[in-house]
Amino acid sequence: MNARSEAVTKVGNRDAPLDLEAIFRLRYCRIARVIARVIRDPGRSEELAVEVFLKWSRNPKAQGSRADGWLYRTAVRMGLDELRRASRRSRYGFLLGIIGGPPTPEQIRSDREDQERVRSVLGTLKRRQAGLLVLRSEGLSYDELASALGLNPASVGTLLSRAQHAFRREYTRRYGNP
Amino acid sequence: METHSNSDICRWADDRLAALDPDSQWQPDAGRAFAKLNLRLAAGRRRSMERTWITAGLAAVLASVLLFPAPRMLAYQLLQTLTGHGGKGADSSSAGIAPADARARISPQADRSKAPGLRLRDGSGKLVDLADFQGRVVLMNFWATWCAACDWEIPMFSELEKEYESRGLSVVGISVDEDWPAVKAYIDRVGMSYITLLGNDASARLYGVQAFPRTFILDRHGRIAADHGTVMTRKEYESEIRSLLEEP
Repeated sequence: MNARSEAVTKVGNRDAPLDLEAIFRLRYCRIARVIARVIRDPGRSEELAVEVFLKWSRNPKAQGSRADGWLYRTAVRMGLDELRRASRRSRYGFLLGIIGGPPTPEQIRSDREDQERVRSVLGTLKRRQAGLLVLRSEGLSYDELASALGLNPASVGTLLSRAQHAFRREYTRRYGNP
Repeated sequence: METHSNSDICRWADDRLAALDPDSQWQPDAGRAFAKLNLRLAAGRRRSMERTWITAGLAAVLASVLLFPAPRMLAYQLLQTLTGHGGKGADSSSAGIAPADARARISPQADRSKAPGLRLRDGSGKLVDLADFQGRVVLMNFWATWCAACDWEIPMFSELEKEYESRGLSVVGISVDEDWPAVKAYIDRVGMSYITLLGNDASARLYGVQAFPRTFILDRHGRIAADHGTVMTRKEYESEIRSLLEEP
């Protein structure tokens, strides 16, 4: 298992009463980090992570043994949705929020540019491919990816490889040969 | 064309995606976030409770309107007032008929006007003249098969006629459907026991009737003593009928 990854433990028995605070404290930082990979703004990532847990607490089907997968899946989906919304806004010139805003010295640094390029490419990929790449970069193992995205563990490697190819293809198409 | 192995592409993608690593200094504040989550949950519970109360209140109002005559009548009167049908809003310009008023009691004898003459056919085709009822108190109800409020009143009129017929009351229903088979089917279904005449637009206009039900009570001299453009309770009708029956 990747050293950076926490084990995707089963956060409870389906029949056990929901201990929201325990699960929240155990998972919140990780979920916020996953979202922060997709969008730029850490503050907004924390807000979206709270939204993820709010939805989770209202969805009995997502609780129990399915909790981890559901939380990661929803975190990636909400991050990508936010990213796409911001991309649409910026397309129409409203450069506000997580992608936009007036350029700062920090933003014009090349590493920042690279982040934005990666994010814009992720925003164009299929949701599952983007989710695989984001969660893999967060350090989830193949088993954890399978659990989080509801995949067959045997096919995670193939799907991840396809996602990487798709990512490179789109990146090259947009920004030239790296 | 440049080709790359899978491992090259994997490494390249990992390198690019590593750019997304959040700032190592950044540590999400779980305590503050949990407090925020609790606030949102509490607000959601409050909204849900409010919705429950509102739904229960509406259900109680609806149930009382459907189940009990008094609130049902109030609702009906309110509806009529709002839609401008019946009640004081009805246009009763023809034949000198005063506007209907649910609260109006029987008018003093000196103020009563003669009811316009009316000759209509009953279901068997026989002509019936309103003048034939001279010397009796007549409860004349304009109704229609499609009128929901009439459904509620008609059984009550049947009961009133049974009870007061021997003391001098006649109930006359005037249907404005102009379709005897439909009226006959309705009479059979509801079990109307009193005389029903087939009215039309002209007879309704003669009495200034624009909305249904509309009920007139004529005294023993054929004068209009009461005019109701809305649903009334049995108790109210009964008190008016008794009072008119006692008049000389």
